[in-house]
Amino acid sequence: MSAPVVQGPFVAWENALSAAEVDAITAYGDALVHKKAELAETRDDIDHVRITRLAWIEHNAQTEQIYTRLAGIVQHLNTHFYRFALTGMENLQYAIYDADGGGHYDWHIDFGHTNHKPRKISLSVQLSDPAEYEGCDLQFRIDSKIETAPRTRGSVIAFPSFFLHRVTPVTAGVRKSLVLWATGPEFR
Amino acid sequence: MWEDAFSAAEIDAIEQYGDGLTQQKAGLSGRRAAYDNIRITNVAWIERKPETAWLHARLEEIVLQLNSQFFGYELHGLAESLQYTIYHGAEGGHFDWHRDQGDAHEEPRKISLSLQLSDGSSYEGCALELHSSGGVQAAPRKRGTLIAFPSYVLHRVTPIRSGIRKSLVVWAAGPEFR
Repeated sequence: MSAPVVQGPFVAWENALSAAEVDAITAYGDALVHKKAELAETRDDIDHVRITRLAWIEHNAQTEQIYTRLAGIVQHLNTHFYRFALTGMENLQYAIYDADGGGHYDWHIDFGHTNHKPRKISLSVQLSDPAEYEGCDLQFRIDSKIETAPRTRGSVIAFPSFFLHRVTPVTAGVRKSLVLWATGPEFR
Repeated sequence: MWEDAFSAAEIDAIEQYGDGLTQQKAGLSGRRAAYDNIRITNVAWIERKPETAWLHARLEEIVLQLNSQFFGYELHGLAESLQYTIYHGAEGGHFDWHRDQGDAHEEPRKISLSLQLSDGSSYEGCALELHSSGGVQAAPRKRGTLIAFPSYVLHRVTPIRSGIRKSLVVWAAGPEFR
């Protein structure tokens, strides 16, 4: 496991999860029922903004281990980089982008007033081998340049939930990712 | 957005004071290389002096009100001096996508305010645009309108095609977000 490194808008932690851990998440996530993602606000042109298949990985006896592991990662990153007041985590989102389905997610932030508790740190775990898909880059824009996150399987990418980001269209194959949010009281 | 946050007479007074200051070409924090592709803006700094005390007091009052109503941030006050900002049509004034947070500042900027000093009909282009979820949104161009947003929001000023746009840019600062 390498050390987390600040890369402009995000912190990249390559090989934060082992191949066996990623395998276990993928096996669990693939067995769930996947639904087309919706947006916080209902709108007719949703496909223009987002096409993603989702399943929620709830916290239960079977997923206890992965929750504990990810909570530890969040805590470590918060201690070293963010120092936000946090109180918990939302359910994990298992997100699949299919080239056949035109998977993508346009520029957005994860922080909004529709959430019960504000999302403060967003994390994305790369579950697919980069050789298995084309496009589908997680990108950030906090100034005139666009920054692209690493694609290595097992990498964790963390960022403040108020940073603008997107997932570019997947042009071949399938990309799977695990997305989670650390929540807490409003920023002050 | 706060329309008519300032009266026409107050805007006149700000412009008159700002136009009398020495202007300089704006830099970018942390950059020494050529940056005209990112920003071409003339700025002058309105410092806290007896003759500008009224303006600082008004802005502090406005920030307090907006913060208690919308933001709820921990703030220590206005950051630095007030930035009197001029985009010239003849120079192709613009400022590409950026955030105001930055790390070059002693205290983090947390709320950004832009007070529109020119009338929207006196120049072309030069739109203040904010980019968040749901796409890009242009700020109103009416003279006297004040726009406030969290300093982490990505924004830009599109190239000015003709005329001159003047605005007053102000930041409220405080301890790091937590």
